[in-house]
Amino acid sequence: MTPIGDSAAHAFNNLLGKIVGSAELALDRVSDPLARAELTGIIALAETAADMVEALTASSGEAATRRRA
Amino acid sequence: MNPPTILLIEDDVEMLRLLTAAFTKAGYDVHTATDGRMGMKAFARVVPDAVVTDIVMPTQEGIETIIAMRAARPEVKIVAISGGGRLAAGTVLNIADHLGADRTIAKPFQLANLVAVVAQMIEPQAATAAS
Repeated sequence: MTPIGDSAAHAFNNLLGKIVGSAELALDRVSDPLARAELTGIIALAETAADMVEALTASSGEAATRRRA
Repeated sequence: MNPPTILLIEDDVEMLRLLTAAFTKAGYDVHTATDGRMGMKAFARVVPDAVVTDIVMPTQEGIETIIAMRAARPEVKIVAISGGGRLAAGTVLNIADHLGADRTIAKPFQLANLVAVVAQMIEPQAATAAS
């Protein structure tokens, strides 16, 4: 995988945060089990994507030293 | 009994909407601001039990805001949130921690987790409000 920079990681994580939050709030409004499973899956996938962002940032050698909020 | 009051400071309006929905659902009296300067004005006006603030924002960033809030009200509970990453070594979150944030949480996070963290921090007030 090609490493990514800190600012790109920041942008991705902000976006993933909104995906997780939106899916979470939608879960509160949905009772259908299949729809809930899909929303739960979206949250899990977003968290997997965040792990990937972390790995890509770490592989660029910046993870521990160049994080920005 | 009044519900606990929380001030949410976040420049991303979509994220602010999600945070607002989560804390409103949890029973908080929610106040919002989209940068640190507006956050400080709201902080003085509403005297919140807790503050959740982003770090990188226009006009006045979260670190400066945390320092000012901590100086004004040492007892207020402050959570810093950041898109910088999920490793504990996140530099800016570490700085926020050293400069007075009670907790730091990296994005992405589940809203329920953030609400639980805040509830735990202000437990005496929250318990009183719920009774």
